[in-house]
Amino acid sequence: MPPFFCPGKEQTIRMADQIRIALAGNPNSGKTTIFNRITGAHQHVANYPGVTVDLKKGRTKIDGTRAEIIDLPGTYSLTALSEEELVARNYILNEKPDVVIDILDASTLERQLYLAVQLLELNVPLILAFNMTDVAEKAGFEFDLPLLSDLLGVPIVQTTGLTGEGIDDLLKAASELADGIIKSEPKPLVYGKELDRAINNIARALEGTKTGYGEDVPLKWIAIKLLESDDQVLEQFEKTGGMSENVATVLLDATKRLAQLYPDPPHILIAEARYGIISGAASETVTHSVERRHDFSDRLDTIFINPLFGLPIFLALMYLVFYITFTLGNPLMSLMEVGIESLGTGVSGWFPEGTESPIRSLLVDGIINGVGGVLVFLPNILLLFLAIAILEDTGYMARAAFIMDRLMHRIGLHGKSFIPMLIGFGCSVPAIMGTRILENRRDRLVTILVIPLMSCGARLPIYALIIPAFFPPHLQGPMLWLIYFIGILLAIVLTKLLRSTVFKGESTPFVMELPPYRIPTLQALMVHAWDRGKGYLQKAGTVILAISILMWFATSYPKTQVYSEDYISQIETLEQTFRREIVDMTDEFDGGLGTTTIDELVYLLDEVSTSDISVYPHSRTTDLDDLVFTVWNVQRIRSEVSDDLEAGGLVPGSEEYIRGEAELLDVEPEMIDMAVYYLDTVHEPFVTGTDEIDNAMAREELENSAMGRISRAMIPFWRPMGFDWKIGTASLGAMAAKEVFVAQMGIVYSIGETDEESTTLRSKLQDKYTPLTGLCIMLFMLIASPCVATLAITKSETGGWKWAAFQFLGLTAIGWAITTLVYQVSSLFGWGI
Amino acid sequence: MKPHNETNSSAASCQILTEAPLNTPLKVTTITAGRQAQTRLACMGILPGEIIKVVQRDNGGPLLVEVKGTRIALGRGICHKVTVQNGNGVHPEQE
Repeated sequence: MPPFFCPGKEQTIRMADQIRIALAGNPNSGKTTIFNRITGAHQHVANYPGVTVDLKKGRTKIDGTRAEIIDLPGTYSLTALSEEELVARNYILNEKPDVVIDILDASTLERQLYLAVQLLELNVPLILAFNMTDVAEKAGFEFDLPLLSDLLGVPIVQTTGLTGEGIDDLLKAASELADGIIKSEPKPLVYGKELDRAINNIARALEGTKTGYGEDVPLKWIAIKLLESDDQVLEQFEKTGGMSENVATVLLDATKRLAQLYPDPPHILIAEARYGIISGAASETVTHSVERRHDFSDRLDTIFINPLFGLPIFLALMYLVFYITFTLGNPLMSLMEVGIESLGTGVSGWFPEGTESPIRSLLVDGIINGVGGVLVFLPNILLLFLAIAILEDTGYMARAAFIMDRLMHRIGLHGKSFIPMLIGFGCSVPAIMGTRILENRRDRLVTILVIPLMSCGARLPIYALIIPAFFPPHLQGPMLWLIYFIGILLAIVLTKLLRSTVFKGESTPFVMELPPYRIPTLQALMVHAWDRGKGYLQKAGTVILAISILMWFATSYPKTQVYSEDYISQIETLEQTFRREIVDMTDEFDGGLGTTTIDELVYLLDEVSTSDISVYPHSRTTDLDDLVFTVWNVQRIRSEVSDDLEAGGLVPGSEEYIRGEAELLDVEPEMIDMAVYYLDTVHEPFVTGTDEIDNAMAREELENSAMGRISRAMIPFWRPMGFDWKIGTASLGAMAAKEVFVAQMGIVYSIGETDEESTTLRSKLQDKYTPLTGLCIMLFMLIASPCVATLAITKSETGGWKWAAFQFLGLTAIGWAITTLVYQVSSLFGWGI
Repeated sequence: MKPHNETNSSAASCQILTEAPLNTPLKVTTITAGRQAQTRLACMGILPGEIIKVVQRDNGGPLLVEVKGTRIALGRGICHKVTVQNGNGVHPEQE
């Protein structure tokens, strides 16, 4: 048996430097697997209709000739109705690849050939790859490929993508076709007498007129597309000065005649004719000895999409996905946090201690903390993507969409929209990337616009700060649930609203193939998860990096030149008091200070009482040494005992305290008293005093920074929601990444470094605000302005700033309106104040 | 392709797809949807004259239809616009 079948070999030599081979095929035909086999490139393989949207390119060599392989989006057809089909079609029309390979799943041949017929219409140098013939033969199909090749006029090669069998033959055929050694000369397609006449008449009328397409695009193809009222072809005519009168008349006559003869419109007649051609060819070349059996896949479906068990199984699987993402992800996340922290410390170490270097601040506070804050989610996100890859590659995701369609349909969306929305609870960025599975642009845009309302992981720290501050324990759970619920509810309302206004029109019917279940390979899963994770990393490396730098500037500059109070002299006063008290304390020491200067003493004492010095050796020859030794020991015992107690500190004079001191038996009791006196009365006020001043300076700096100024200028915007400029600043900061809100609140309230567990910040919030304000903050954070990473991905996925701006303005306006309404109405009735 | 005179010959036995019997070969008679929806269905193999089979249907959810050896999920909305009649002259009892 020859490796491949073709209508006739002929020797002509035309050696190209490089050939370009485009791979076309239905979703799930095994196209991407073959692409990966050929190029070895790390590409996305998904057992879910239409996951490959971008054009993917790879390289290989065929007998020394370089070849570029283009993986076209998986499509069922080449109409102008979906982005994938347009991308595939336009690539073939505009880039004119040397060879187009259509990969067909042999077990569903007739449906798969529908795309092949449309490629034949385009008269491209076509090769058909009969993939998974082994599976088809097991299912009882027999093929007469040489005859089919003759009937269609194109070479046919048998392949098995999974094992790589036949791929060399396929590439050899492609290279021979490009060199003209073999030919692909599609036989004229016969659509039936009336349609043929209509097509020929229109094609003749088109001769010599402007079509908007190149000369090598067959006129018959344009004629067919005109009969089908193809939007893009009509648009091309518009662009090139409209259709000639003659063409318009011929087209009208033809459609009129067809309408008189047949009840179905021309596009259906053409589709019927294509299937006619296919069944004509198939009846001569394909026999199937057995009826389609209820195979393993069908049996699995009786469980997974069972009307009764389908939904519970789905919910359980989703729970499992989130459980895995968070339980397995969190330890890894902590690891990332530690890594980023030590990187920050390491970088800080490059700079001389005690100096205020703007570069250090930019590197550590701006870049490492900013990008790091997003990077810590990477393990969770990779795990989530891995889980999704498993669901997709096994074919389950299509079933999930099937199950969810009933619910999603009621709000005007597809079953498929559910998947990206679910991912949105983790992070909006991958969720918006995930909307690529929606073929209809309107469905996709609506889904993208409402995804930020799915409360993402980064918003959880805000709720975790606010809820315990304002609500009693028994209300905390319900409050959190309420916030998530409000988000979902709002998404539903908004979808309905968008559907009946901006995105009015017939919602696209839910039509989706349920591909056979398959066992994914580990490598495919890894590649798949990594492919998406890489997208997230790229975002972190570009947009988020830029925004982090911008936010750092906005919060650090302009520098405060004149402070409202003389903080420097306040610190100096504190320092002087501190030194004087130490001098007073050590006044009566035996042997005085010896060779130790007062500066050294102050440094030593400060060091032993604040730092974790694990080894404090030193001989104890003088009272001074004794004091340092005792201070260190008291400090150590306190921390050890308080660790044991977990109560946070010891009450002086308590039993544990004395027991702790007893360990220092070999120092005199007076020395212990002095050490305690030093720690509690001299050192402690000094530390808190300087911290307070530092924090006050930081607050004033933030207040005077660009961010603070903008926030104060925006007071008229904040006030109706019950916000002051401080909440405003934090809200602005949250635009960089939602969780920044917590850190910024810490700064405006002079707490220094803060996380959501900070009880100090919580008690400050309790003093300053009411539960109503707390609720309003959460509402505004939930609804208003998605973070910049989300906006950036919306921009890149919708192809322009228009929808990103719409998303930003729309959600901010709604967030403002709802928060204002809640605040004003509740204030009026005195609720939550 | 079928000319006008052949279409309504068996109009009496026409049913909406959502009410058609399960696991029975059904011949699609009409799809009264927009051009876009018709085209979308056509490229999945669902068009007038084609034999299909409803494999699963539960209240409110999409239908699972078998056509040309593949399984296609069809939303309720579009199914209401598809009419069918018993395909191949085969009676459900004989299946």
